[in-house]
Amino acid sequence: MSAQERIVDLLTSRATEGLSEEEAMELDDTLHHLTDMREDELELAAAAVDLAFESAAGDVEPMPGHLKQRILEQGRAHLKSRPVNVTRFPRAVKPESRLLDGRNIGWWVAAAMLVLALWSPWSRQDKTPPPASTLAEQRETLLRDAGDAIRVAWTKPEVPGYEKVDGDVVWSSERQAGFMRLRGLPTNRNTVEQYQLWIVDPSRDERPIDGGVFDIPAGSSEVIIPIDAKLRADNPKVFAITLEQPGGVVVSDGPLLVVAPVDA
Amino acid sequence: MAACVDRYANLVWSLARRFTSGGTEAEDAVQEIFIELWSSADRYDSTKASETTFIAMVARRRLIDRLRKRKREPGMEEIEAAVDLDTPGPAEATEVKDEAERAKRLIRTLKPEQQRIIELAVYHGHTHQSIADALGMPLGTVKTHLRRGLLRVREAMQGPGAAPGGEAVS
Repeated sequence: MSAQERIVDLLTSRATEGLSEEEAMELDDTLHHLTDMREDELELAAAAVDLAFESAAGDVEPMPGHLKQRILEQGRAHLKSRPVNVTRFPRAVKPESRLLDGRNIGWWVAAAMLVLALWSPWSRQDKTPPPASTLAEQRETLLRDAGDAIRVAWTKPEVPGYEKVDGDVVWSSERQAGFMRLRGLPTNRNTVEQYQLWIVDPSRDERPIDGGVFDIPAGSSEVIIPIDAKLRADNPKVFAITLEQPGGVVVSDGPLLVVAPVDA
Repeated sequence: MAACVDRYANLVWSLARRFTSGGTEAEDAVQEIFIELWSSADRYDSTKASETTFIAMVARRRLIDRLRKRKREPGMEEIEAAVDLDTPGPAEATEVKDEAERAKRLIRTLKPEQQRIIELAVYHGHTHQSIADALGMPLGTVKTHLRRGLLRVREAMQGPGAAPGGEAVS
């Protein structure tokens, strides 16, 4: 079996029964050999097939109203959270974005762009944005300028492989913005797993707030990651990091790899 | 955003119910899928697939991952009767219904054996091994049918007139 055939075989499995961790890593390592199709084309074909059978079987059932409401709230929070991450701004307004070709998905992002435009102080005055500051500078600015900003250190982790992690979290509830500073967190393979931040705010809900997924690139000594809270966190008590499937999860099974308790 | 959620909520919910044990697990899965959609919308390419198909793909990817995590027991599934593709679909959002009809036309271009194997793997979520066991076929034959069948559907999706909003190759 040629390398190309093996990749198509793996892509067929991914589109139907899924891949084991080993197979996912193999695909990740060999995908650059794929020349005559995009990597998601068989998954799109499987999705089309699924739509056909689902429609014929009459399986479509209305989503419960409370769940639809929760999703709308999450969506709004997600759009609002985007301006926090200044580094994403240039990408969001990129005029050649293929997203603008879409119909409804394009609308979602258009809404995000509108929010960005309204939030951006220079959008109404000067069309040329000032040079973006580094994340380290943004973190320092938040610490200096936000009156309520807190800084909490990661406690010494006990999970094997994570003992050397240190750094801190800076968070402003007023601005709903913050940054993680991490040293010693092992590199992840983002096609297999991604780190996810959780913010525990008992005043809001028992369930922790998704603080966004992130990667640790190979060879990095210290990284600063903007916090991308999907919901408001007004009184955070704990920040914690888990390792999850790519894209993150809604509810984590843990374990908590690194933790920063606010009142410690 | 509300209109978009309205349009695709039932599709995603139905997929989640089929791939999970229902209840809270299905609700968690649906939330994960929509978060993924909010975050990955910039991967959508309208020249490759319709919005409906893209959303179904993102949902399926997440649901298949969850199913693998649950470590389904191979060989224990019962093989379902074939779904009659000529059955008219229920009342759905127009975009979903149009896309489903287009996909039905694509599937009808496949050999009956390929149709059946693809239905068992893609729609009913059986493992390749359990399909091989149930149909008394070598595992390699099942994989070959799946690979060729999906490649055929992919080609038809990309053929002339198969672009979103157009007519599929028959």
